[in-house]
Amino acid sequence: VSPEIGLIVDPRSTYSMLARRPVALSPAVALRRPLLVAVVSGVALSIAATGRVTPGLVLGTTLTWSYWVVAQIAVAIVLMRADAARTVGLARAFDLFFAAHAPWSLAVLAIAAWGPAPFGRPFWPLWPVIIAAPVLTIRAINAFFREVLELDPRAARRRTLAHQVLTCLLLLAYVWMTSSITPRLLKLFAEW
Amino acid sequence: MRARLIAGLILVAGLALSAFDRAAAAPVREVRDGFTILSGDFHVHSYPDGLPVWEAAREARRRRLDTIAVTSHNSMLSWWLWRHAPWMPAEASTVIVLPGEEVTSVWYHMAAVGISRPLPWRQPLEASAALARAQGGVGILAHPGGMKKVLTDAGLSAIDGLEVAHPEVDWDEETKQEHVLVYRRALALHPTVAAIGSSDFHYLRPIGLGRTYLFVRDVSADGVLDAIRAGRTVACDGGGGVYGPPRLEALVSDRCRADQTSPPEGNIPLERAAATLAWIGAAALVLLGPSSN
Repeated sequence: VSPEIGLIVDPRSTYSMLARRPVALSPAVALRRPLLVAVVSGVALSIAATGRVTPGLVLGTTLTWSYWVVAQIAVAIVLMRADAARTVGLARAFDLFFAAHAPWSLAVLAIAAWGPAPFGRPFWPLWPVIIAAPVLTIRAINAFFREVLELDPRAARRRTLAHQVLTCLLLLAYVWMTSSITPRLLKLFAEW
Repeated sequence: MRARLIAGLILVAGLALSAFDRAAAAPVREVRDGFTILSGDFHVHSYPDGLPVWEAAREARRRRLDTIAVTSHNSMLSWWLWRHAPWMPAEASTVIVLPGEEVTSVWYHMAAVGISRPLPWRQPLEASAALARAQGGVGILAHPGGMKKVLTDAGLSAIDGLEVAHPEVDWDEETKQEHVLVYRRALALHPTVAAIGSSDFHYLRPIGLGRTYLFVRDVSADGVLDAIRAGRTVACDGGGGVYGPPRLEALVSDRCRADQTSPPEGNIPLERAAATLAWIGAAALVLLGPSSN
């Protein structure tokens, strides 16, 4: 069973086992999982928007949307730097942290496969995937802080919460900028 | 290790296969009564809330569109990216791309097309439309269905066009009727208001699902804007329904149905096979991970 599947099924014992393995990673190799996240996003968004995967389209979409992976890398560094140095090393911690991204990557691929439909194909079959992705991710990240960074349960919960808050704030900031949320909120308040 | 290699090869095979797709054919433009008929979509979001703009233009050509306007929310970032694109696919350069912005205000959204600077959003619709016109552009009221109670006569008189066909109208009859009612109200106030069909393209629904046929004197950005100002347009919804001056509707109703029911240009079986391979390869790589460690 791969780390990714193990983290979906039983994150604590999977991370516990992975943290005990002596693996020396260079910083460049530690980028393999973030890179996979970026490529999967590029493939999924290309299929969702056009139904095609021409190399130029996938490359352009991967590059233009890789800011989101960079943002997640920044969040990870902020939250794990000190404890990673004390435990498995920053590069290894980084690699293991991104192994927890599989549920979201699968959700994005599922949306790309099912979502594109001009005339309202029902979206509800995707809801289980969209709900499962954050639940499984939170569970895996909490296990990461406990088993890999060796935090006590309370500190791990706090760190997991911090991760979710930072991620949501970044997402909100992005949506705020690109979708002009201010006037939409003003409208909501006015109607309320 | 072997399974990961196979998954990676499947992904690469999908991308490589897609590279053999044929390019969209050069547009064949029909001429009627001295006017060339173009097909356009004036509400297209590209990066940062959609595809890279050059890919949006290429997709437009593939969907038999001659012109698009890139309309970021309260910004002209997409237009800036178009002007500074690092590369330009040949198919994209055959599309007339117009600068634009989706003015996202509290009580209305308006696609300002052909403008040179972003417009402020804290102002009434009529002021936004006047500012768009002052910059040489046009103001198109976007997806007006839910706004019918707050739209004023002054606002509806000021706009150059109105999105009577938008993917929202394809989903339920009530929304469609709301759009048509607002269009009729605007038409009564402003008889040359242009009937516009747009896709509001981001992801998940194709560009050109909702499109506008324009009767232009010359095939250029100015020709497109002139046709909108003069109301020489017909809106086409995703179901093949047309809206506009009856004389013009009759000229493009068959084309609207054909455009909305035909697959995009290119080798569709090959594209589907390539996308399926890439999807399977990507999903397998996600599940297997790049390493067993």
